Amino acid sequence: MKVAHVATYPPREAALRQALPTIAANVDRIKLVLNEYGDVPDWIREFETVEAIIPDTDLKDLGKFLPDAKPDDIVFLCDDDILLPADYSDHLIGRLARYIDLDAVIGVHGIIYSDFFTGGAKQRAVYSFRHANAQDRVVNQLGTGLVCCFGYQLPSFDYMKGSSEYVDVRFARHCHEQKRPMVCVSRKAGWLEEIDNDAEPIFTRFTQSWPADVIAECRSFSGYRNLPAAAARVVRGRG
Amino acid sequence: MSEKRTIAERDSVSGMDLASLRRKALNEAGYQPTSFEKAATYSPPIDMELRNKVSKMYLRAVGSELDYLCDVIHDARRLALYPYAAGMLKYLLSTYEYEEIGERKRMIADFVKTLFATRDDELFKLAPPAMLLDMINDDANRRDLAIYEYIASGKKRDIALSRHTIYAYGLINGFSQSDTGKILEIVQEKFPQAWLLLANLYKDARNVHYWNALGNFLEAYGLTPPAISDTHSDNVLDDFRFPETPQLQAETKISVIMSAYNSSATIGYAVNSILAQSHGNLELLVCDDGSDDDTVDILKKVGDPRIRLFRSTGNQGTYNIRNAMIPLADGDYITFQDSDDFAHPQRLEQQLNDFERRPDCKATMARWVRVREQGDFVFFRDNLTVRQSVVSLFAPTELFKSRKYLPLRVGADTHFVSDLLLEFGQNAVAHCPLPLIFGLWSDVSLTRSTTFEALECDFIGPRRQAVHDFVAIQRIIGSKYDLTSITDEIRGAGVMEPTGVEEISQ
Repeated sequence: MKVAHVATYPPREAALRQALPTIAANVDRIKLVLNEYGDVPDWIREFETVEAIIPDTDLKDLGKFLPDAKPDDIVFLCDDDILLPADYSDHLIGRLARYIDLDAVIGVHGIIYSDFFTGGAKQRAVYSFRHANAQDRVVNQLGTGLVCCFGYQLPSFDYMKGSSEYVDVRFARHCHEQKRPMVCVSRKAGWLEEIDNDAEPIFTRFTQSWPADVIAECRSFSGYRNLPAAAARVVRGRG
Repeated sequence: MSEKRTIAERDSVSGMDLASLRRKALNEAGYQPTSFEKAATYSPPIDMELRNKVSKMYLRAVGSELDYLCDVIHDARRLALYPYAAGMLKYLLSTYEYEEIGERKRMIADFVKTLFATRDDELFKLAPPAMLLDMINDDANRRDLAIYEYIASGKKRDIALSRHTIYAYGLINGFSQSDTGKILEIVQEKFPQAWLLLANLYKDARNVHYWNALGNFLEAYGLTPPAISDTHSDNVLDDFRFPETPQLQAETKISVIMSAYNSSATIGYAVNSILAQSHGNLELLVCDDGSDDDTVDILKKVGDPRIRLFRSTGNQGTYNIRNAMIPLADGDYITFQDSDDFAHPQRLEQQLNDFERRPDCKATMARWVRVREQGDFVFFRDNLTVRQSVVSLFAPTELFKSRKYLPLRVGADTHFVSDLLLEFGQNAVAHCPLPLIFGLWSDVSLTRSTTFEALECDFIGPRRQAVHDFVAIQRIIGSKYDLTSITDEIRGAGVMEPTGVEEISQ
């Protein structure tokens, strides 16, 4: 079963109204974590495939990792402010199959950090979802708003605890520890569309000034020296 | 359709808070930092220029991922960060088949150098068939592959690998006597180290040809040649004799600091080579580092008033001893000598001259030649036997008294010099080109001991490498970001606890 995990909060509701139908069109079921909501809005109840979850604390982006997944589910970790194209799940599942022998996790927004990363934005090569990517490539980290993986590949919620606002780093660390390559897929420019919204993105609040511990955690899996070389060769050949 | 879930209280402390929390918890538990933790708080000057160069990713740096990686791998190798170079290279190799011939050559050069330094089998396994084919079709690369296979098979770990050595031996063995003489003349004029290749041919007999070749080598550098020795000891350095030179009674006093651990077989010639220096105004501070042989007894019998003897409380390593002895030194200048090395009689005179000739420099380093007990001079994979010697660092006393060596088991002198260069600029340490020390290349020395070795075929043992990486990375990115790189290799064996020294009456 294709299942999407999405986390949101009230300031993003307008964006979610646009994004949710595009997510629903790509999956069989959506597990929607509603941070800071008192109740499930009526318009969301109208989506038969949506299972809404209201946590008792604000989990922020960590919410995506709250829902349970069956090991054989195909899970899509989705942002609440990106419009997915109709062929989104097919494209990513195709890549999941192409690299099934690598036990790879698939995504659209990839980052390779400098081997000497100290937190600077210029010390990263970003394969942004906004831009074209000519060929599949292994990366250090995938943005967890655009990830496709098997249910068994998801880390436990306990593992993710404490990583709120840097879930991408913790998720990448998990994949690195499990020796699972992260593959950023090829696509055309403009394949995905970001919705303008007024809610402050995490990037401006947090990503530009990481705490030393987060940088140290990032360094444990980052850099070209930590990319899985054998998998890189396979991806280079097939992708 | 909806549900409310109760979640156990989430760990909501930020990363920065966790660091403080850990320190607080350790303090409250009465935890006393070990010497390792103290070393971990070492904050070297960060080389911002280097950091900016190596850390900016290719999109911002040079445009092409390949060019960027080749550059950074080169920098990592230059910094002896071989695990970094190997890791990046493994990724880069996946692109080999898609690159042009020029890039392929760059990749092969990096591959060979990194392979020899790390003996990382995975690197070898990841070499694409096309690359191995390219290597086999090139004479020099084919020889490198054969040599690596020879080493990796475990047949011999420390084979002299110099292409130059192999080439010169081939010349010598393949040509007639007169042709060989002409060839050697040409080679030696441009490359005085070739005299030591000739000496190596006579190492077993250690006859007049051996000593003459060594003498010609030294004279090529303007240094006094040795006398022809009529003894044949197990350790050739025991047989080194130089004509007595009148000692200069200069006003400048030089302190030489030496640590010794179970050095009874070598301490005699090591100490005497210092006491026989042409620059006679010196003091030799020798500290026994907890030996259980008769090193101290030998030292007590030397009977020269310029010697001051000390003893460690336990075994603490050479760099802790330096830190303890530097404040006790009485000279205008300080330098060091290992307890199994032989100093040429002009060493101190030449180093002082070199320093005084370069008023802009803060220190000077000489060169050395490594020699096996049996008498053969060691050529490294870069074809050279004359190499820079960080042990020979020579500087005014106040420079040493204002800083400390890291309490590492190995390599702290290299980091000491790196810190000087960062603080005072890349020209702060002069390089005296003269080979003024003969260093023993012994199987029992730390440089050759398993896991701490730094061999002539470029291999660096994992513990030595781990200790080096730990400090070098801090120099690039600062100490606070890389505690993840602290490994058991460093924690277990790389750091020595300082114990202090006491003077022994003679």
